Amino acid sequence: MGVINVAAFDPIFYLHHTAVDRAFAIWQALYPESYVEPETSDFETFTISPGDIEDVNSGLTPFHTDTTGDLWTSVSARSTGTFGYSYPELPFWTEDSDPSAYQASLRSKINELYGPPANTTPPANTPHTKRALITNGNQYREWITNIRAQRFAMTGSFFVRVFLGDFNPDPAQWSSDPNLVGTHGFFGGICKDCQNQDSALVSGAVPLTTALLASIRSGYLASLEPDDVEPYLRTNMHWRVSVVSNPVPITIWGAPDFV
Amino acid sequence: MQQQVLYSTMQEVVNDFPVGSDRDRYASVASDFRIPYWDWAAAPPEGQSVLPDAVTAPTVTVNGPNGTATIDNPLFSYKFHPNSNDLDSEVSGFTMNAL
Repeated sequence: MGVINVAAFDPIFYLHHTAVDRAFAIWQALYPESYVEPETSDFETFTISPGDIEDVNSGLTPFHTDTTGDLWTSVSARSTGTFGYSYPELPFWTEDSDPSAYQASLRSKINELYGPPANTTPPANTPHTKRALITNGNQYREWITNIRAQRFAMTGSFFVRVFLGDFNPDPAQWSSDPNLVGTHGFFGGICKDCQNQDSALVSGAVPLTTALLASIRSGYLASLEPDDVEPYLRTNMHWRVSVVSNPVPITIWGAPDFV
Repeated sequence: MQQQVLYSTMQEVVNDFPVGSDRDRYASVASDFRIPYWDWAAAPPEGQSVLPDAVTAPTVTVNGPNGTATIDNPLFSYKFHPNSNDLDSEVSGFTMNAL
């Protein structure tokens, strides 16, 4: 799916976008008062001109509701129920009889599926001194890698991978490397003129705190304070780039700069 | 819209089955069919990849109207059939594999 131009030919595209549809349906159930807000279009498409205002009533070309020219809109397409389906967590037909139970049950299922795993917070029986290294009263320090790149720096989509510690030099193994902290994906199409277009800087982040906590638990790092973390990151943090469209990922590497 | 197209193809396949209990069963399941979702945000079971087996196996054994057959798994890869006028030359050589 990483090659945007042909992403919809990857069989997993449909399984992925159904997951996105479900994520959106869950979001809608949690935030029923939020929806599409009017926005002026910057870019041109086949049916939209720059400067057009897009809002909740705008026709969602090319999707027609009938053969006489009527289009689906964000209003008419708002609910999965209109299309005769829902998702396991969203028995929306039960909501009216007990709205607060419906919300509570939904939140509980979300936390169960997607809540933090048990080992991201110090266990309750962590010795007091070790815990004090992590929390300072009720505060702790969060560490994040900020990444910024030209959107069309590579041919198509590419990943920036952040590692803490040694890692397998084979790019094909990176996504499952135990020392991979995280990956930020830069989503870009392949187009003849892309690299000549005005450069678009895109940014993202890979949080480091969970990985640093693991280092503390293993005894490699003393605390989350800058005096301990900065030298540790200078020695142990690495980043690599891999490009989606080439059969063999191109690699570029460098030392991170701290801001 | 994609589900509508898939549904009509499914109807054709169902009707290829000889009349009988198998065909009835498939017809009933087909009428409730919806595309499954791939929950990439949920932690996979211990030892399993977040990619479902259904997209990583190159072949799959299916029950067809003429019995059991092993076919190329359509969820594993798609082979383009380019009319070379239609697609950019940059992409016409692709075979899409699930990453």
